[in-house]
Amino acid sequence: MINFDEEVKKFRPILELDQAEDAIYNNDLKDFTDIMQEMMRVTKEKEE
Amino acid sequence: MADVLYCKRCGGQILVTGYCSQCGLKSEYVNKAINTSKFYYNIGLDKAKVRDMTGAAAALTVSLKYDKMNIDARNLLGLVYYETGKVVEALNEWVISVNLFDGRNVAKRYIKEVKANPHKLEATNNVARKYNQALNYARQGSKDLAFIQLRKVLSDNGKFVDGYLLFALLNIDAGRYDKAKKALKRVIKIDRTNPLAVRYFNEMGVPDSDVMDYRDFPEDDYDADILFTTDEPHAYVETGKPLAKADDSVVPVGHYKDINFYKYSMAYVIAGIVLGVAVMFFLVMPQRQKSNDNTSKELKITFSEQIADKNVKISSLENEVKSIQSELDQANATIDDYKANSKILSNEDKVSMQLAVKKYIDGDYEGALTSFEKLMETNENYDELLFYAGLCYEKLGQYENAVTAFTNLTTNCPDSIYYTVASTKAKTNNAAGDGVTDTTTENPYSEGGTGDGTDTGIGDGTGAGDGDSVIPDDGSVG
Repeated sequence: MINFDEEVKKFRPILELDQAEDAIYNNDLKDFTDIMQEMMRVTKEKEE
Repeated sequence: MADVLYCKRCGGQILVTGYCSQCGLKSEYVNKAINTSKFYYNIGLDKAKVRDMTGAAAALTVSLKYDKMNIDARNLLGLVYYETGKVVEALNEWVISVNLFDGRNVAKRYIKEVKANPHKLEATNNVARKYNQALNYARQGSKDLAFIQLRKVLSDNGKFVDGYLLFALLNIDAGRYDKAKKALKRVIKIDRTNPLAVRYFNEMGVPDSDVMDYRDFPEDDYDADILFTTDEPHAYVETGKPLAKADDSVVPVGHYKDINFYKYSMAYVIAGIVLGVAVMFFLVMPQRQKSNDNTSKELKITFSEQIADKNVKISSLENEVKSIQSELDQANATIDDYKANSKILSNEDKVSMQLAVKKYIDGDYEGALTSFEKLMETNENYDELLFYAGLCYEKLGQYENAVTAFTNLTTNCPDSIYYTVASTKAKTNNAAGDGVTDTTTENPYSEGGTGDGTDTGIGDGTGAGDGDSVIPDDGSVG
């Protein structure tokens, strides 16, 4: 049986136009290679 | 000489060790990430082609996690968002795509087309705002308000999957499974494997096989009105079977037909115009007419007052004219009386008077009397004329006439210089008429008289002596 209160929590608000700029700037654009590079930098720092 | 390899991520030269000289990443890992990204992009593309929007979005998101520079994957993800009604999210992806790669990028065209119609963009923003409001209402338990907002949302954007899902959830909670199923069918039509829609179907007892059939559900142009119109009584039987209709013998009490305010907006505009015209005719125009009537009444009153004032002035002027006319009449009467009693003779009568007096002096009493009587017709109260007439009557022995003439003189001319003599002669003639002869009248008028020549001032040239005798004794007449 569907629990309305539980189900409705799963819905997320969608972006409005005036929030688009912030969403773009705050977008997490890190990809796999960025993460690898970050890991290498941290490792290198630890070694030093 | 070995070929020089460059890093696919940063463009740096790949060293012999296999690491990039710039970013320091191993070339093998970079290539693996890029290939994996493309792999997920292909999966996402396949899913998007069969309208599996949720699966496509998930695959494309993973693709971008492996390679954020995968422009095709980002553009396709934007398209998937756009197709499911998330326009702002789609714009986000496209804007990022254009910023990452400013060359031949199809995202530029997408952005341009979305921004080409500001009204549509504003409507899209309103859809997002109302959906968020509806979501808040639903979370707060204000389901009716959520329904109202969702109605507007779905009317403006017929492909908004999240709106349909929330609408379906609200209907399921309210027991309106038909409407929920209709909404979910549309979700399936847009996003064939939407997991939430499938789950809601399953919860309502619809098997997956039936859900699969809904993918080919006839296109009904996503008219949101249908969702708000029919509401057949159905019973939800929790037996794992499809929904069964309730007892057919139960006659529906009636159904509520929702009004689509957008569809009838033109009718509202026309009704508003008609109402405005009616208000104009029934409220504004009578008020203006009343104001005009009041103004005309005030003008009438003002003019009436002015007319009354003028009438009063006219009547007073008429009275003044009458008064002046009566004064003029009186003056004319006075002039006439004065003329009648005037002792001034006209020039012609003066000549006649002198000739008559000459006749009297010459002894032609009858001739003189005739002239005097003729003069008396127009100058009956002229004292000198009466006096000489009386003398003539006396000379001719007509004493009664003489008395009458002298009496007229004394009566009408009391200020005359002949008054004393005339009164005396009246008495003597009266006595003479009775047989007594007055000696003073024997020769009252003798030539070569010794008058002192004093002018009587009458202007006729007749001299009058001093004392009681005023008979001209010098015969100077005229």
